[in-house]
Amino acid sequence: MTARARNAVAALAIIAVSVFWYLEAGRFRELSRIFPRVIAVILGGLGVVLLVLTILGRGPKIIMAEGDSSQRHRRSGSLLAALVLWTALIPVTGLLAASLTGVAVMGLITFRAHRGTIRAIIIAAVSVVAFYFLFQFLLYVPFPLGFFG
Amino acid sequence: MNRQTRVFVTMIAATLGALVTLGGAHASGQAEGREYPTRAISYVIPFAPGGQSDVTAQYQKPYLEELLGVNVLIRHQAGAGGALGWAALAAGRPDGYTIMGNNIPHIIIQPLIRDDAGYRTEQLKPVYLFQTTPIGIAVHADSPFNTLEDLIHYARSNPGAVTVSGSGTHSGHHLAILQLQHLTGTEFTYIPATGAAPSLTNFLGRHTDVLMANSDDLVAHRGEMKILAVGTTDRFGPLPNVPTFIEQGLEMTAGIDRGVAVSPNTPDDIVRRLEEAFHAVTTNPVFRAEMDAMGFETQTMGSAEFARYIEQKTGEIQTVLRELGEL
Amino acid sequence: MSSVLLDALAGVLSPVSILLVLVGTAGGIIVGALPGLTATMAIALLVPFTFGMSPVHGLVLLGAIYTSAIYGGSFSAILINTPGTPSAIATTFDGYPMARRGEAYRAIVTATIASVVGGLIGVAFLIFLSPPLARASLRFGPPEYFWLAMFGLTIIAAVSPRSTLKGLIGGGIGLLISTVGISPIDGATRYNFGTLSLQSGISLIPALIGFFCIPEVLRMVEESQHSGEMIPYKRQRRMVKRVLQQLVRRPWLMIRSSVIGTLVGIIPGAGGNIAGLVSYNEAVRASRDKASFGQGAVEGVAASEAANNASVAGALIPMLTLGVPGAPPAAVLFGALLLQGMRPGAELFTTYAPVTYAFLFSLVLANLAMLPLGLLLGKGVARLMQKVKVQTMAPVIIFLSMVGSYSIYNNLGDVYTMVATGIVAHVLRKAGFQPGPIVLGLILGPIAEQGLLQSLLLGRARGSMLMVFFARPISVVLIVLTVVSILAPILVQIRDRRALRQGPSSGGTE
Repeated sequence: MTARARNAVAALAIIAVSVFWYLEAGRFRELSRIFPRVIAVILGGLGVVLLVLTILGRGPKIIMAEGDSSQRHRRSGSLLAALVLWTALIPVTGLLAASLTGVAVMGLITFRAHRGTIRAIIIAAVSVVAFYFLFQFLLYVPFPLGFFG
Repeated sequence: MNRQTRVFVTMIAATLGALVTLGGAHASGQAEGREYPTRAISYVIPFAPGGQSDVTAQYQKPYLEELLGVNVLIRHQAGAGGALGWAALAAGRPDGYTIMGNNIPHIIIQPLIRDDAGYRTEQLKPVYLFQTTPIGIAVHADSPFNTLEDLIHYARSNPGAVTVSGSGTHSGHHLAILQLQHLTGTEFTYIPATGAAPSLTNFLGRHTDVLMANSDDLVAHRGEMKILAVGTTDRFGPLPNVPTFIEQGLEMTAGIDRGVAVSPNTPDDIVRRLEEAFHAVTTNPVFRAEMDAMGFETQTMGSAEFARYIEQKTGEIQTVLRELGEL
Repeated sequence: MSSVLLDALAGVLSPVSILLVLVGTAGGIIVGALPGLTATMAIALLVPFTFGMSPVHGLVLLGAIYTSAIYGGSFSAILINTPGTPSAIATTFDGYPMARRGEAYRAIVTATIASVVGGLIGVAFLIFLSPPLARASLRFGPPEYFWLAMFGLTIIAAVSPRSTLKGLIGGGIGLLISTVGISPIDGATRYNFGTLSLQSGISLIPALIGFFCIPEVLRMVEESQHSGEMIPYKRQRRMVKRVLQQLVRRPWLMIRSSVIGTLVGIIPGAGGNIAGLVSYNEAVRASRDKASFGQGAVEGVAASEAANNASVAGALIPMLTLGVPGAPPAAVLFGALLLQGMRPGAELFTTYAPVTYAFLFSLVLANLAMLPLGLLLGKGVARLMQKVKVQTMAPVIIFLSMVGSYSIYNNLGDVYTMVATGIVAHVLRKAGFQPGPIVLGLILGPIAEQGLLQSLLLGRARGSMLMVFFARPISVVLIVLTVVSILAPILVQIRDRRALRQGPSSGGTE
């Protein structure tokens, strides 16, 4: 996406959210309604300004990252997917197993993208286990265990 | 996949397998079960650390550990005025290894005013009620009001002109001022803060005219204010010169009761074990003296009595809220 | 009186106390450096242990942890762009750019020296001026909080150099997010989409980690191909001396930042995060070289760190004198005092004076201990960061972010919040929105809303909104500051444009 398209999408999204926030506030009593409505009006207004500037071709510049952008996006997309998977696994398998899976999946993604060593990934797995037990037994944090619990 | 990757994936799989086995062994080991409690108990405070529930729990901790023979770990699970913690307790395992602060009126008001509180009051199984903090009403030391009657008289002829500081919306303080309005036909402007401390500063900084506060704050700052009434049935020990609301013709008590509860369906023998432990702590003279010094009133209400008390309070609170149009 | 002070001093200088200060300081730095582990948590965790100690020893340990955890937050702010504690938000703005150009150690040295100076100045205020300052803090009522938040929002201009419009939108997004959850005034559940965990709102710390940390980890992985290493590390000699010389040349920066930190710290409810941000803003405004901020200016790191460490002592002022803690960690410390049978308030400086003063002196000691310990740990961490590969670093940082978010209140919902805000931040970044203004809105939102609504209620009761909002001395000062803060950059811009028109050779860039 070009900077101009990004600005336009951002502006439209912001206007949409502001409208939703404003309308949703109608369900609250007066004292809970004032503040969100004021903010929604201001934010919506700023969104309109951004949209108009973008249409006029005077929108703010966005610094694009260097390098092959489609490849970058594919990689960060798969990383985000890995992050979501990792998070979704926590209530099912518990934090430790989910995190080791997360480390493995992220390792695979970065491994393909970047010529690294397996050693680095194993160090990551070991560190995760070490930190896990540190928190569990030294700081008494009751981590979710999922079906292990 | 190249060879290195394969080795790596196998390793992760092996680790996961080992964990499954370990987890299973852990679970079966537990099922054999010696007598409760066999492992550390979490004592959860559904508020941020540093508050009065927290301080009391810290006091109880060493006694409980000695009586129960296991570690007692104090944790905090704050959010949504305590509702987040209570919702977790209501959905928790009935094994008695999580006990949680169970404060009246908080546990009652939340489900009454919101249908999305995440728990119902009767789901939390009461264990023991050990402490009451009476709520009192105070004005500035140089205020023209010298008695509760003066204040009510003025508020009646100037509806909404008197500002009252309290700890939050639908808190014990809020409920007390609602009760007072209800009984006297007055109207105050209640200014809710996010806790007892900011409420106190709002008052001490003279941003409000009246303060609703817990007994310990009243005791600590009594030099800077005139305390007009306190919400006990008889005169409150640490403040012997302050009349009660009842003495002044108002049929109301106001206070915050603190106890503990466990998850629904926790077996009775576990509840009894905890009840005994809390009873022993609360009747310990050293503990009582510590509580007195902080301006708290100790209570010794067991599980059954606590449950009846909650029921009675629920009825009272429901009536007040309904008549004031808060429900 | 002086004998009390001497007794207190003797208590602090005992071997056990000194050991506790060292242990507490080292532990505090580590806790602070890990994202998600905050000073509040560390103190809450240790309170049961200090219960068994003598009051002096217990408080010495907790005080050392408090002050050093706030400082430790600068490590992760500098090294991975993630404030280790909320207080270090403003440290990321210049600390991380410094690290990215190989000056991580220089940034850490700056943070260390500034923290020590700020901490010591703050403690000096605490020891000598507590009672009058505490009384003054009470003048801060609802309207003042509202105007403080408004003034705070003007910081957006300073933290979004590329596009003020996008900064403002970011601030608006933050304010909007801050309205999620049960409303502070009438208890309505807002924007929780039917979920229970959103009832308590978007918690600040998970959101901070999400906004700052996740996009940075993703970027690290995306870019690892080009550079091959996490962050470069330039070996430089005599760093401490050089930074010291640089800071000594700017005494006004250090003093101003420390005073701002102390004063903001005193205001109950405004902690180190706001202190750091306000101080950063003032440093930008006072600087002649505004463009260098956000690009790795030493002054930015110094301003933020001096202020947030000064705020530690500031937050203790109302806690010790009035019994009203100024910040969450101070609230836990308050509980610890109660457990030791000491009721904060006037008695602390009479009946318990030896313990109280010993505690205050130990804060001095802890600040001094931060210097060698911080430099040592800082150098080690900075070097380690250079050696560790992205494949190790990225998942471990994410894991720690999850653990940190979870262990605040043992709440899985906070982990979801962290991940969700991380993804949102990643997307917003692609559209040119920075996390700084968003987080600013998130922090100031509740203060603004509560101040506004409480003031409205007060105004209705008093029959005059005008009197409540505009006729109070501190409010007037804050309003003037806000207006100046908004107008000054505009005036400068107009002047620059005029200068440009009159003499094109002056070389302004538009």
